[in-house]
Amino acid sequence: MTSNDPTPDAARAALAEIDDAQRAVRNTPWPVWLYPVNAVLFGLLGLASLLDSTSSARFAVALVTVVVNVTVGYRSGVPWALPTSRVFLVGVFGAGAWAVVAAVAAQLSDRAWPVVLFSLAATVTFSVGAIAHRRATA
Amino acid sequence: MSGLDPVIHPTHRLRICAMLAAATTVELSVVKEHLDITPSALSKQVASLVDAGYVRQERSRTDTRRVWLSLTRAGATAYREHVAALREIVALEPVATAGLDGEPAS
Repeated sequence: MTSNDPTPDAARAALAEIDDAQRAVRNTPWPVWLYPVNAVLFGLLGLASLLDSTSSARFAVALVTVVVNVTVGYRSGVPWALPTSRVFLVGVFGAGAWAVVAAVAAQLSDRAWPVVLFSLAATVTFSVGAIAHRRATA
Repeated sequence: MSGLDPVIHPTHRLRICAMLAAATTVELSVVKEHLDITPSALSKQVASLVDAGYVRQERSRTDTRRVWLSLTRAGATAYREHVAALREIVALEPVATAGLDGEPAS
């Protein structure tokens, strides 16, 4: 360490500034309407498996989900920021996993109710994460 | 400490780089909102980072009032090394403290 280097306290303060700045930008509030829209889209992602045996409906719903979220992100000024809430992140990945399970269920079974059930699970899982995200950013 | 970068080190520039590292692309108005400094002061800080080749500044094609900032590859590297150097300074502190307690620090 040279005489021009910051002291450990100054370095610690600089690291705290970094953490604070990154949290602030990652926790930019979302418009309230985006939460229910995303919850419905995750449910539709699962239900799309009932519409046709190909993946075109699922692809269309996934595309709409991405376009809606990136557009809102650009309007908010932070299109690629990943929120810090772990509950939210688990909620998003969990909802995506339920949608995949719904698609698998649609291929393995002729019954519609498992697909509806797993799609509902996707919506509920995202909603739990959404509540955590809203509380962390509001 | 070799990784410390004098361009990045001032608090406002460090916070700008931290935001860009966390969110990849950030609109200038968002940076301004979180820095709580005047527009002219922010312009100077951003200009220093742009001049150093650390930050890319682009106007939106659809709305020219909106300005987007992102780290260049050189900026991302310099920021990463700067943060690593700060962490190293903090990590070295217990050794220095132990030296003050009686054991000479080597």
